[in-house]
Amino acid sequence: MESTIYKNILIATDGSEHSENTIKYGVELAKLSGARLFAVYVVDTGAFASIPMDAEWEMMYSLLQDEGKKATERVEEMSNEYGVEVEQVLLDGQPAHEIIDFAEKNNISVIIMGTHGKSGLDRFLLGSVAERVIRSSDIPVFVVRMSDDDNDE
Amino acid sequence: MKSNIYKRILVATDGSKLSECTLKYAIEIARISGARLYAVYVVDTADFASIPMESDAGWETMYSVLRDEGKDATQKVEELAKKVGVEVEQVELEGHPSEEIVQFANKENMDIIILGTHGKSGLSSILMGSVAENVIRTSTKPILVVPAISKKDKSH
Repeated sequence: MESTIYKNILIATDGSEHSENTIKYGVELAKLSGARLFAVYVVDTGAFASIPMDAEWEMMYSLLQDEGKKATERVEEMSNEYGVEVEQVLLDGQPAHEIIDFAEKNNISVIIMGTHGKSGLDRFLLGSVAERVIRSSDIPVFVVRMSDDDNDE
Repeated sequence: MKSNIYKRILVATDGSKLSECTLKYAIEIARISGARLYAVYVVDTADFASIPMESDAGWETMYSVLRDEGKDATQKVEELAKKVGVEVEQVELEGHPSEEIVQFANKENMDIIILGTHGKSGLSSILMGSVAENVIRTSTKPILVVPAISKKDKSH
């Protein structure tokens, strides 16, 4: 049942509840292929780069780190249900860049991510992180449109 | 070995050499999930609609050339898939490629759409192929996007 094409799968999660569907597709693919699974969350330090490096910055950073921890743990929980092992990875920096960089270094076969994400863009636009990853990655990208029923009026 | 998530997979092909990498990823998901694979080729009628033709016969010829190309393209998918025991449904559509792909995926309840980012020109290591881009923007289905030329494949 081992796959020679899907060997290492990266799920990029942003911790939003809409990521659940994305995670499901990733975990299922990992289960079927016997691939190693990585759950990656990137603390977007760019988002608060303008805040001076002081206690406030520290607080912000640690808040996001906690959120990331929760997000990757959620992937682990879902993976466990499927009997799939997962490696939790917390990165920081510019999300698209970090995701691609990690993927290249770890020989990832496919990057799985949601397309709505937290930026909540217009429904006809991709989430900017997904769009950037698709545009600059040499690795296949599996995008899952997050259901926007509850979020989109 | 059946999957509840991957049951019907659409792979778009344009018959080009570049689409073979995309096919590899598609056939493999179908193989490990037991999904049915739909190999879709769209005769891009818009492509030659604007070409002035002396007669309808010219247009007909053009059209039949593309149809043959489509047949070859989906046939190719079937051959590759057969080798690993994956069943393929060959589908030929005509019209505007991204629209036809999105529509077919909805109508036929596809679980995932798989396509490459190359245009036929193969120009798109920087620009995403327009078909891929339009499908991504307009479809609500999960989409696996396979880049035109992966760095790994280049190092032969």
